[in-house]
Amino acid sequence: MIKRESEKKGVNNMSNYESESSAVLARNLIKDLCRHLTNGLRNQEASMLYKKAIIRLAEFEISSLDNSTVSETDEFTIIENIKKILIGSKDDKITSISALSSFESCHRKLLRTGVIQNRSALLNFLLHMSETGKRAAPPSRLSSSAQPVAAASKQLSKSSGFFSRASHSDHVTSMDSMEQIYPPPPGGSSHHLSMESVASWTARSSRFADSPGSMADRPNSMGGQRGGQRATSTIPGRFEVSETVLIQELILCFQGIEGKVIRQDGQHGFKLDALARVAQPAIVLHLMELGYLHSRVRALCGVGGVGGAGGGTVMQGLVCGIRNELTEYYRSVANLHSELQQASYLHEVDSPLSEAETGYSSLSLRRLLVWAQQPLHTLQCLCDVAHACAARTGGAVITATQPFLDHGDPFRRARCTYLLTSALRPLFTLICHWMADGELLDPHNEFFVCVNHGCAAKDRWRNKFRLREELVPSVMSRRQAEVVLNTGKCTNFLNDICDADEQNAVTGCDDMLELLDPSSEIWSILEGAFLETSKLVLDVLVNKYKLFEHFRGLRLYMLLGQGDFYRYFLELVHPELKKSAVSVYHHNLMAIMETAMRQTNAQFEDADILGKIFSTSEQTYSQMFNFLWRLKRVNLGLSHTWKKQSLFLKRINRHRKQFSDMITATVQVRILTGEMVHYLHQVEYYIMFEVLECAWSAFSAQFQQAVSLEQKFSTQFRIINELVLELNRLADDFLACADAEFERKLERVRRIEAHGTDYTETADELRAEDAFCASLLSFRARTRLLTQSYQDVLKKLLLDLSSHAELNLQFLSSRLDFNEFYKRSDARLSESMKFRRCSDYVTFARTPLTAE
Amino acid sequence: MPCEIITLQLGQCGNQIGFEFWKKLCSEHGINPEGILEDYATEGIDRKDVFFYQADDEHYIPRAVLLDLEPRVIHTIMNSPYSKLYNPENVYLSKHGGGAGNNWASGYSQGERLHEEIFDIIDREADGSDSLEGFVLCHSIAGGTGSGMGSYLLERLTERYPKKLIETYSVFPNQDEISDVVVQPYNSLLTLKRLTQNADCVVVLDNTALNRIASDRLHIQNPSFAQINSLVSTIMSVSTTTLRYPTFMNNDLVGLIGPLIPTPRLHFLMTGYTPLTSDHEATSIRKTTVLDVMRRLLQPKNMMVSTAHDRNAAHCYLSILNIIQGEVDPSQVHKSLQRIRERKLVQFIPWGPASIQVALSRKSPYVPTAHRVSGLMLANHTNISSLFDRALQQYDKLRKREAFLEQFRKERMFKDSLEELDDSREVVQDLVDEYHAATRPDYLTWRPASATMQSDEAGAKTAVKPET
Repeated sequence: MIKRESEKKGVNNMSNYESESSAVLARNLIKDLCRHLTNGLRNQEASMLYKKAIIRLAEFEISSLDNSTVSETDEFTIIENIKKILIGSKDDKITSISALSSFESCHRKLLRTGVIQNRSALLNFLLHMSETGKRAAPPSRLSSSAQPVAAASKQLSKSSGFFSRASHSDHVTSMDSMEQIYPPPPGGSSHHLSMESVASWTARSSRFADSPGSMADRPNSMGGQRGGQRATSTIPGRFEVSETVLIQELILCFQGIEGKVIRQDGQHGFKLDALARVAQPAIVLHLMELGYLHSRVRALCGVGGVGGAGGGTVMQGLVCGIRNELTEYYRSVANLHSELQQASYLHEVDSPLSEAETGYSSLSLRRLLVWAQQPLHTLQCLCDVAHACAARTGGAVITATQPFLDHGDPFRRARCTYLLTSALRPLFTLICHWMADGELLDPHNEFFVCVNHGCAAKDRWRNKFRLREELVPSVMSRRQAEVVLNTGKCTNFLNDICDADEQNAVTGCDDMLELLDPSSEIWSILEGAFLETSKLVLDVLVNKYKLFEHFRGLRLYMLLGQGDFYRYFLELVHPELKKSAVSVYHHNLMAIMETAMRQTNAQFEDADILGKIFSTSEQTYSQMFNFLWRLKRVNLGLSHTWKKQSLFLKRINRHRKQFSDMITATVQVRILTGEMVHYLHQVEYYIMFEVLECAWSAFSAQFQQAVSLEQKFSTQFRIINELVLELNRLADDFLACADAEFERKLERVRRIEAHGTDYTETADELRAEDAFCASLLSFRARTRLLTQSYQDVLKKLLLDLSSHAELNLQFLSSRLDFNEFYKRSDARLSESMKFRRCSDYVTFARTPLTAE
Repeated sequence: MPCEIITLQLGQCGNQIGFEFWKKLCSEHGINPEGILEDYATEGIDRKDVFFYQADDEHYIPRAVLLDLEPRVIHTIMNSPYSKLYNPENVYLSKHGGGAGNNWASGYSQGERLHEEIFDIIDREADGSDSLEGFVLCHSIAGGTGSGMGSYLLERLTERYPKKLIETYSVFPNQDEISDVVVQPYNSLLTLKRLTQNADCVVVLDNTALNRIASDRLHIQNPSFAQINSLVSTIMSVSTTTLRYPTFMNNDLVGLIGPLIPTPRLHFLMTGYTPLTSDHEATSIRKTTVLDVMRRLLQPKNMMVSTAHDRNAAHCYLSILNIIQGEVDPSQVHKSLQRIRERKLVQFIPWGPASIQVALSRKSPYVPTAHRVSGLMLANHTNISSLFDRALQQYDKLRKREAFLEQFRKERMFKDSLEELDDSREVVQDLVDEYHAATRPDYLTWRPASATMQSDEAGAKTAVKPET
């Protein structure tokens, strides 16, 4: 059997070496051979033998370098393979056994640490490395397999700290395996979204380019180093730095502490001692970036940086978040440190080996590089954020931070979200305080609501607090910010003015980031709080302070809406107003007003409101009031005249044949009166109705317009008012005169009936009649004059109105001249009205009426 | 309280429409038939004191004086649920209770005879008010009491209260049916003279038109007095609504009628109301915009005065006041007015300014109505002269035959001469002429025919005088 075996081995070996080109052929050959050998044996044994042969062959194939088809995922298989290589590759048995034991102890440690998750991949990687090493250079020892990686990292370092896929080309296998162990960061440098971050990042890399001894001036330093490597002995003071020392130095550097080899460069960065010779300078330099980033973040968050006292609470919140991240980083560094110490301790205990063997320690530069990836990202992120937020306060900090959220890397996004959340926390407290208590607790002057100190007391509702647009965080929409402002304003108003005890609380939710989502809970809470508070304010104003009653009161009394009150008041006050100003006393007027109030519906109004309204001194109101008051007064005087005229006519009617002249004159005056009544009613109607009633909503605008109307046409209004008063006087005079004449004649008739008549009496009578006729004539002349001047003024007014740009005023003119009476009698007017009619037509074309 | 108005109800017709009027006012102000304020009524919205006075905190009594010469209608009122509403002292029934026999002269002379008792009541009522603005007289012009005693009262009120206004709601007889009152033309003419000379404003309620509206528009075959009277009471209540629900304008009688009556004698007002629906009719499917309401108000079929179409005269409006109640968008009013103006739907006088005035008025909160918007038009239109013209023609027919004059001659006024009748005819003829003249641009220089001769003399006199 043994002979056969050896034969077979020999054949196998032969076939292995001779016909390795075709494995299939070889297998068939083996199969035949096995059959041949086990000719007399059972089939089972033959197949067993065949299987064994195949396995054996397969083992050879593995060791025959170019075979990678067999599955390597099984850790055990890999280890076995390694062991085989270790044993097989050494000529000398003793060294191979010591290498084997060394590997086993390493593997044990590997198992114990549990840091590396995908051990099998790692081992596979190492296995391949050793193979590559064998191919590239004569195999000296396992650790030399790092050399090609170092070569690769030369290329890698060109892409400033990121592993580049460009280096794939010649080390496909190794890189694939590396990727299995440390997945490259998803998204390269080009994936930075924020321009700012890109800028800062570029700044960072360019800083490296400038700083001496850093990675970027590699052409020199590397060249120098290589030169140094080649001719170490030529430069005096040059010393070799072991990896352990370097790692220790690096760990110090990570914490921003200067070491012997790695020195600070005064700009938060670090540099290698020019004289030190390190094994893998590219990795070291890459790792040193971490130190730089750390120092920079510290500096940015430090006293002089953004985290200073001037930054405000939001900034402090952000800094707090950064510090927490840093703490996490420190913890990680500390772990590393302790591991380093433990490892050196282990080495001291287990195998006090030579310095060359420290390469086997669990902490290598390469491992450090792997470890550094995450902190590097974190610190980069922190650095970018801190840089972006520099010199900002309040909401602006959040606005600056928010763009970092839109990062494709979930890791980075998580960091930024954390930072943003911690920055928002103080802002949220501010908002809560503002909304719930209505107080601005803003010592750092950073809240987006601020007090407008310059606002007047009466304007306090509208202007006391205002929004600072630049401080509204970008996570809030404009509307949300306004809601916050108004809610606080309402609460403040309640506290301040109404002394109301009602408080509403904005209850807890501390993640303002949810504001970004319009359907989020916090938004509905905000909105709810706003609605509730506004309602509360309105309720308080309406119920406790009778807001609407005040408005109504203003409308009814300041704007003379309460017709019955003013009608009666005017009637009562009329005799007083006829007196000279000296003899009009305040208390008399007050007494009259009180009577009027008592007697009309004003008695049902709230006395307090009335008091306030009558003492109000708002300029626009009093202006309007004066205008309306004059209008009302003139109107009342006119209706008195109207009434007197018709009453006089009624009395005189019985004797109409006797007094037909008087009647004619009266009727003439009466027609003028009618004309004026028409005018006054239309104006009053226009003001009261078109201006006040129609536009109660757009109240103030219309109101202003009416006031300006009054100002614009004040002269004409005044003249007309004067003419009306003139008419009043005239009519009064005339009526008094006519009345006297009438009475005299009646008296005479009675006297004649009683006593008869005589010449003197008749002569007297004739004289008196002549006098009356003369005065009648003069009255008629005056009436005509008055009519003429009245119509002139009115036409002038109409002309002005109808040519006025404001459409509403043109409407007033059409109201005043509804039947086109004045238009017919005035060419200019009809001309201008022609145009107006066209414009009317346009307006009505726009609003087609359905009913036809 | 200011601007009080005392209502005088005269005769059968006057008391009937008055009764309906008060019923309506009570329901609108939340006053129950016994004069007690309902619990749901609130103060401050309306002004009850114009037409009512308060006996105590809750008890409201109408400022009404009920006068009649025969007891039938007043007894009906006093047996109705509203009997306790009125102040019993204000109800005056002639002692002999024979009525006026549909004779104007009888009513007039009885008024003369009874005036002391009547004016005791009126004076007491007037004394009870702070600043009485005027009287409202409800009567018919065809009967005996309303026309005769009404005429007498008009004359006496003018003398006794020279500073108070008098507004009348005068029912004109139905021309479509043959009246059993043969002297109706005499009665009407004599009353018209007083209405022309002694009233400040006459709201004409034409029975002809009311009956036509009831049968044509409301589809009632034989309209009862109650149905007609409910129409009348609607008109009366709506036309006083601006006085009772004060807004910024038209809050007093002068303010209400002043703009309507530009020239003193032409003070007869027509009314129109829309929507006209009876109770049993389903809710209106009509459009109820302001424009619709205002346009319908201008249609003759909605007018409460039946006027004959006169081809010869271009009749026109002296003035119009639309009182619109309900949910109205004020901005619509202006648009509607402009529309009406553009389309020239209304013909106005050529001799002076005139326009459609609009008063938006509140509705009573206590009376539910089926209509969103309703409107009443008070119009001063020259075509009302056709009513007077008709009255003149009928009078002339009778007068030519000297028919039924013996009844009048029994009374003192007509014992000696029928001059009063001729005088009345002249006054009414002048009125008709003036209305016609008002349609022409030269109205301002117009003089009554009766005055022309004398004024010519006067003119001649005055023309001579300055020279001497």
